[in-house]
Amino acid sequence: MADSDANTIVSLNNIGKHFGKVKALDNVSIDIKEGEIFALLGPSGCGKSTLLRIISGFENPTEGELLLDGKDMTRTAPNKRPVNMVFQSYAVFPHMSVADNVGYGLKMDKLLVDEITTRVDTALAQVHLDQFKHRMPDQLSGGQKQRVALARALVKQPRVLLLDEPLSALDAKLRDAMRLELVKLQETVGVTFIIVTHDQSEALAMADRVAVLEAGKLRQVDTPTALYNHPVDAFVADFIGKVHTFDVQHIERQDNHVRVTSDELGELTLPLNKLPERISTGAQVNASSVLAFRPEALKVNLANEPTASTASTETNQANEIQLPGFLGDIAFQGQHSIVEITRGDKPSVSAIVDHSSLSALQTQPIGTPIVARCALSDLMLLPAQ
Amino acid sequence: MSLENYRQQPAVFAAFAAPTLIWLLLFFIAPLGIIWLYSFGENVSLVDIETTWTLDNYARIFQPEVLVLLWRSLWIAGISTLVCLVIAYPVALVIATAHPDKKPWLLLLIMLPFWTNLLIRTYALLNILGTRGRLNDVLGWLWETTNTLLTKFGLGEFQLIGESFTPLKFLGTPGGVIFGIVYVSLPFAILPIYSSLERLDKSYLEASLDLGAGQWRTFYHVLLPLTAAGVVTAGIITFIPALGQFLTPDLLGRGQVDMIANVIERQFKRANDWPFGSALSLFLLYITFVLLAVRSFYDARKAHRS
Repeated sequence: MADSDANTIVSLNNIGKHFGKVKALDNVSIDIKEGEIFALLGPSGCGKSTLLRIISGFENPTEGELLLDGKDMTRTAPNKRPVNMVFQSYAVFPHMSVADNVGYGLKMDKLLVDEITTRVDTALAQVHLDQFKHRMPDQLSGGQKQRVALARALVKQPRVLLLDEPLSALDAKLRDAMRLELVKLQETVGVTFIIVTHDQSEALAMADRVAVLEAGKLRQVDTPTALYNHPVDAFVADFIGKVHTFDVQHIERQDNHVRVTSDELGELTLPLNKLPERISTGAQVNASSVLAFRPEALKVNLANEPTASTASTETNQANEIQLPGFLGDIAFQGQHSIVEITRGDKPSVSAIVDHSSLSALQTQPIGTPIVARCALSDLMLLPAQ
Repeated sequence: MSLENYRQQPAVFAAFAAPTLIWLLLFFIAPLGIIWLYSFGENVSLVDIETTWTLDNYARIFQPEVLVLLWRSLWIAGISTLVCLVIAYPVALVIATAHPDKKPWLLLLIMLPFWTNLLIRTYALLNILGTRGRLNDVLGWLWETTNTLLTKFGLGEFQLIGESFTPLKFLGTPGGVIFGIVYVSLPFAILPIYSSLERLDKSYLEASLDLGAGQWRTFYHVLLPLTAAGVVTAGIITFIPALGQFLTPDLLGRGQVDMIANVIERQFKRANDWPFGSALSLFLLYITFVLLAVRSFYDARKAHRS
């Protein structure tokens, strides 16, 4: 663990949490850096919310330790931690005005009335709620309540701001606006944000780094681009965006390349760097694996149409895989379209196609034979689990 | 036809509503009307009452001996209600925060006394609160033990806790009556508070802790204000029946702590003064109406503000 790193603000070391016989978290270690937006991402029940509640102090871990600013706070009461939380339900006190809600934490810190007023005004200005100071919460919209919750947490000048599914209760349009605004707010105040979300697009769009959790285990911590382009396994690849996978029967490591045999894709020779550490250490290859590619890696052509690659079959064949199939539905998405390629009794695949390639396909009836190609460099070899 | 629009079918609606309406009319509205007429009447013979629209019966309520009784009923009911609320809140909190598997059992424990006849429960209290009752037995044992200990430490000669144990008098004192009323009313106080705690979003409490308040300040600034409606309901639901308590002051008060209901009973029986009894009964009802009106006034004002 890099807990000597001066930059680390939250250090989760081997955190485990058991609820009776259920292991909600299993040996999770993450270091979160000062000033970053960090997302805890995973499907529901993966333990991400429990992890957030351990950082805020509402749950105590069964195992492991939590360091905040280098100090052990594993069992410190929530009101004694330099972190504040924006709750999923916002939890804006319904019996207090907006200003009283925001000032509540400062009142609890026994600050002078004048200072409370000044800081509340500043915090409300930050979230553009200066006009709503004297309103009661039931006169506010969902988005405004969330701003109150944000201001109420930020006014305490926490070292870390925890946000539990901050956008899930907002409607789609407001969600996109609030996403941007949260990132801008974080840039202004400079506080470390830890965001819990089940929405991968939200995590990828907002966070500097993302931790992917599944069934209480940490799968991968990385930047959004690294997660997308270099997922550590099939679960992460599938959770971060869409991916098509093909079972692999045999992997053989040779001098400077890997030979991969798949029933569907045939025998392929991949460069050595495609072989992840988790599949093989040394010459022994035993973990069950899959070959995977993302829909945007597929190029779609009509079956009889000559392409650059078929023109010089001998030289290029080894550089790509070909999936013959039939044209299925085309879903228009604006800048691009999603083309479905049906393959008889095999699972169909989809390809993301831009306007220029689309025009040739659009005129064809459904069921026209087509070929989808994927460059070997776009293939990923991943552990199945 | 859905369940909601049965009201648009007059025949169906009548079929549903009629039994209740007839029952209410025959056994509630009609007797109340008779009592109302009696309250403006005069005894003309031992058994006959003539409605003369006199206001004498109401005027008699304001004579000092009746006012004393009314005042006593009010403060005994008031203190009983306060004691109930103070005991009920923590109990309700324990049930509301208990493990979901245990909740039904804890609620059952609260409801259990209801399944025993009120008279039997009150007689049981007589046995406990009597001069030679169980409570005094325990207090006497405590006195003996303390006295033996003091003697052992050579302090016996100072008589620090008195020369001998004198049993405390509970029966025939307001304390005994309040004890009885609290015992009978407690479930009525617990349940509304429990249901308001149960409905409360727990993240309000977590938010308060998160913002730096301790458990006590969270209770005072967040939990109590957010469950105030439940507490008020519990208070009203306890206070109104307590005000009209008859059996408890009769048995535990030994005729020395009469409340207004005991006087009403006497008018209908020994005093054979039905008109005055009727006027007193209705007066009690009016007090209740005023309380409920005040409550809905506050509710309406609160609703208007938000």
